[in-house]
Amino acid sequence: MRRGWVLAAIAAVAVIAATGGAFAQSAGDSITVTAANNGIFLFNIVGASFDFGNVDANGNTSSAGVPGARNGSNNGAVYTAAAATTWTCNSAPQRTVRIFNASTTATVNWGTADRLSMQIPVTGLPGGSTSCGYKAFSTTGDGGAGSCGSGNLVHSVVTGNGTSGRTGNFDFRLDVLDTDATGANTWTVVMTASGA
Amino acid sequence: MDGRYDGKRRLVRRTVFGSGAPRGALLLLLLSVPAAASPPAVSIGIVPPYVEKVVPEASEVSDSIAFSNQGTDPVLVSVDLADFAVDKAGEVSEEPPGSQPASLVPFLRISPSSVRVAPHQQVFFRYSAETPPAFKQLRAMIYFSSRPEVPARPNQVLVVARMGVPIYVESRDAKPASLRIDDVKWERSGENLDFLTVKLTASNEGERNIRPAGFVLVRSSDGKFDRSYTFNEGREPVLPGQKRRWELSFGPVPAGDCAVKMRFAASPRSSYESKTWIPAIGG
Repeated sequence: MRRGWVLAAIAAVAVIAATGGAFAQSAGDSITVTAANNGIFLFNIVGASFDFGNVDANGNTSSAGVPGARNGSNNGAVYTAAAATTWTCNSAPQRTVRIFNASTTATVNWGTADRLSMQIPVTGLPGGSTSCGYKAFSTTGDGGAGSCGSGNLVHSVVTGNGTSGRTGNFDFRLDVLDTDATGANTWTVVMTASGA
Repeated sequence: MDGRYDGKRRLVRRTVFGSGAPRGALLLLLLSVPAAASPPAVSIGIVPPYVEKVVPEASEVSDSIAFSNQGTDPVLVSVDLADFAVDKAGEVSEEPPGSQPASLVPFLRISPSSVRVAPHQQVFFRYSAETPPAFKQLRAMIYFSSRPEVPARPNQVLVVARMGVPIYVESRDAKPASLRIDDVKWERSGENLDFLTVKLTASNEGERNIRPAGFVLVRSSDGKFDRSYTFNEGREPVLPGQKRRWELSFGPVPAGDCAVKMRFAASPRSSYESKTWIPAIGG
């Protein structure tokens, strides 16, 4: 009986290995980045959206649980979501990528468009990567300038496969003024990653 | 074989197993797969990461790019085109479509221009380009923007992944790439000086891309250390007329004297080779 189980397990492994290639184009397959396949570009974002929830100018914790703080100038509040979401970039072959905001669209029902700002910190990224600090959402895309001008978020990130895959965070900050009649807004942040 | 997961299980049962015990073994194996970390909401894979085609002038070139959504959310994918340039460090700058003399954008067509991709689905984008009567190299960046479909909530930030795939179309009549090596400097680097760094500047005097591949061989004077490293592992390109600066590190290497041999392709038919002696630390 024990021999039967062992043979069965070996047979199962063999069958799965043998049929793997036949499923190369099927739904549910995964693509593994290795030096061998030498040609893929992967971009993961852990959370596709981040919800601040209902906020106010006093800095009370939002309905979604985001902590707020009254402004030092005593006008409104700031809601900060550090590591609101996480991104990972892999590439085979390795390439130098930048991530910048190319967004131009938002639905703003209160305040002004640049109440949302964002940054990609360099924590965890390799030396040479440069964070451009918090950038207001209304700043249009930087056109790929490769510097901290305009809407750039992080640049000089050399990403490859395996241990050279890069993971970083996305920090969001939301400003609310006393004059704001807060309601629901939406912002679309476009994270562009490109290389040659 | 219909390629579906259910089809796979049916095939396994039909052809190999007949008793309950083997099915149990198979179940254990299958259960071990989902034990990995849960996939992110957006997980996009694009193959190939860049396209290079060599064609006759006044001809048509076409192929496809595979796009996979391995995330948990469906995404609405849209395609846009841009010109681009590459600086000395290899960083890409995005330029307005059609603004550059070598722009491929006016000749490039992509289909579909937008499509909804469900989780664990793969789709193919077909591209075609009709090249003009006279050109050397045309290039463009194809951007795939993946907008996740999620329920709207108050004060919501939606994150869209936009990935650029460069496409180069080169004329068969264009002069092949030819690298001129302008400067090569080796030095020890790292906190313990146990790495070797080469600072290299090269210019492409040809009319096509080159992605110089080669190796760096480091050998200690006593022969106990003898190791080979890949040069330009990422196969990053030097574009026609571009000056490119590399700063590549190799190691760890021993503290004693080392001989370094570097060799990489400088054109389709020639190689660049250099030999350098690195003195011992404190030597």
